[in-house]
Amino acid sequence: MKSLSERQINDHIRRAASAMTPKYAEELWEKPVEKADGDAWFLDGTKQKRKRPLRRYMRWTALAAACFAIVFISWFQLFHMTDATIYLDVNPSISVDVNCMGRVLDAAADNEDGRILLDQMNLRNADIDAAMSELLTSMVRHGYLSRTQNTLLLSVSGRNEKRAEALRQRISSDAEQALSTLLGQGIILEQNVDPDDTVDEISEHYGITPGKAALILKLLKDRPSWDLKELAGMPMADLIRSCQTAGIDISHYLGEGGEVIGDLNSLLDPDERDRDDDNDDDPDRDDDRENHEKNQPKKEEQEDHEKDQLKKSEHHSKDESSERKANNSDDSDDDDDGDERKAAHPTGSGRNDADRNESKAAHPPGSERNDDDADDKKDKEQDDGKGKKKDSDRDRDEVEADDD
Amino acid sequence: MLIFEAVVYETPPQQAEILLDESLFPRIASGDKAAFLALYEKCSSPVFAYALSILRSRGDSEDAMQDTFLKIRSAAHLYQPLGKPLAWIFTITRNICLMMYRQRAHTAQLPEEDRVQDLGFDRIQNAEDRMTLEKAFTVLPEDSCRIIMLHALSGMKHREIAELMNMPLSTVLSKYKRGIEKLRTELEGMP
Repeated sequence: MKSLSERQINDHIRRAASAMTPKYAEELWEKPVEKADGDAWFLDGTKQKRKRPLRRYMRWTALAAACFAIVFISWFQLFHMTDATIYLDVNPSISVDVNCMGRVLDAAADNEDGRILLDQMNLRNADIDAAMSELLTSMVRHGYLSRTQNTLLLSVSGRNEKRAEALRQRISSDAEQALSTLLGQGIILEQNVDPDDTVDEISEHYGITPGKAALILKLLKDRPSWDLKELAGMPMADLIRSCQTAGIDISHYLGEGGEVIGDLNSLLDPDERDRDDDNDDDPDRDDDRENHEKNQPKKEEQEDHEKDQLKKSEHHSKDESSERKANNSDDSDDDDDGDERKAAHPTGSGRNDADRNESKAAHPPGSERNDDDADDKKDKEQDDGKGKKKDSDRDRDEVEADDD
Repeated sequence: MLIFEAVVYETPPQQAEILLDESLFPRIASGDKAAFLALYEKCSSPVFAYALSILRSRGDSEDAMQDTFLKIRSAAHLYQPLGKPLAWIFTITRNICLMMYRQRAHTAQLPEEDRVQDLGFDRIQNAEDRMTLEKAFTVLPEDSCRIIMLHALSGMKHREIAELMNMPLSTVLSKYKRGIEKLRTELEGMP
């Protein structure tokens, strides 16, 4: 046979099959048949044909959906998930959530002063650098930050350690620049934090950030006689002064990677605030006082407010002192006790320079020591060990409630 | 000779895929005889050849073909227009053949030489046609034979054949190509 192409072969097969096929059409039409139902055996597999196109489309649809889900999740994580939280404590305490890109997702106040600040600004979606600048400027404007109250605690908590560290350095640099521009200089305490339940509870209860709560808890481990509530209520500058008075280097409590930017000693150095009119290099207390009175009118209102707060806390602490005495039975050195007590209860009655410095730990520099304070101190000394049962019972209950 | 061949072998143009109007089925379901006859005219030969490639017996293949068209009549109202009427028909044919194959499994097998004669190729008058079909059934593996029958007689695409036979497309293409080559070799070697 001659060479055949595929077409020719198929043609031969077609003709051959046609010749073989019987012609039964008429007979088949005449035969009676029953109508089949849908599950007749000879129809098995006939419906599969429909699934095929769908299956192919479903495969592509599933793939497209998976790609979309991956893209969406990545986008969400980048832009809408909190990657780190920044805690700012001056006296206002503010927490700022940021995403991977350094954009602010949310800013929350942990205390009333923080709420006052945040009510006047909208930081959502702002770049963290701009947000920091705006926050610090506002704090200066409201008097929370000043030349004498120029200390802030900057804590960062993040999902990724490296990113959190990089963020902390970035905003620390922003803060340093802002404080330098606004106040000439500033002190920044930096730390990384990983808040646990205890820290969160304390921060929520006392209206401070977890950053400050974590720092205070570390201080209290070494100084159990100090009052948590009082420390929580202190502005950062006063807290540092209290530590320095007690001979504590607060930088040791900032944890691994924590650091201090600025000169801590400047908080206690009188010469820094010396407005020596006669240039004799002697400490001029009268000059200082006058100039402070002239230049810081707003401070008085703040000081009055703080005094009121201190008075209230003193009432609560009157009976705590007797309790503390019992707890401090191991301390043989009375002077150390005194210093510690004064550091925690900075309303000291001592009229020497050391005492005055200690008292400044709670009262911003330039605040007046008045008769009320002296009387309160006297009363406190008289009541040590005695206790006024009427108030003490109530106070004790309040303290216990606070401590729960 | 060439002219003679041209006259004798004047066939309809190369047959592409059988184009079946899907509206035939609802018409058959409603009792339209003309629709049934049209369907039989177009599909009886491919159905028969496909059944023959499975059952390897002319008698059984004729029964299977008849049963196929009776089932088509009984299930025409269930046909869903999916654009592949041939696949629907051949699936019915396959199911019927498999049923018969299982039933026949218990009966005695014919000797090899009788099985070939049993195919009924002697009824094909044209020698080349007969030789080609005979070679396809005797020389080729069963799968290749089946694939060639479906493609040559119905014009079904290889993808559709792969779906019908539940095989990968690449396997179908490969078997088809090897089958055609083998047939060509066998036929060219003949006088």
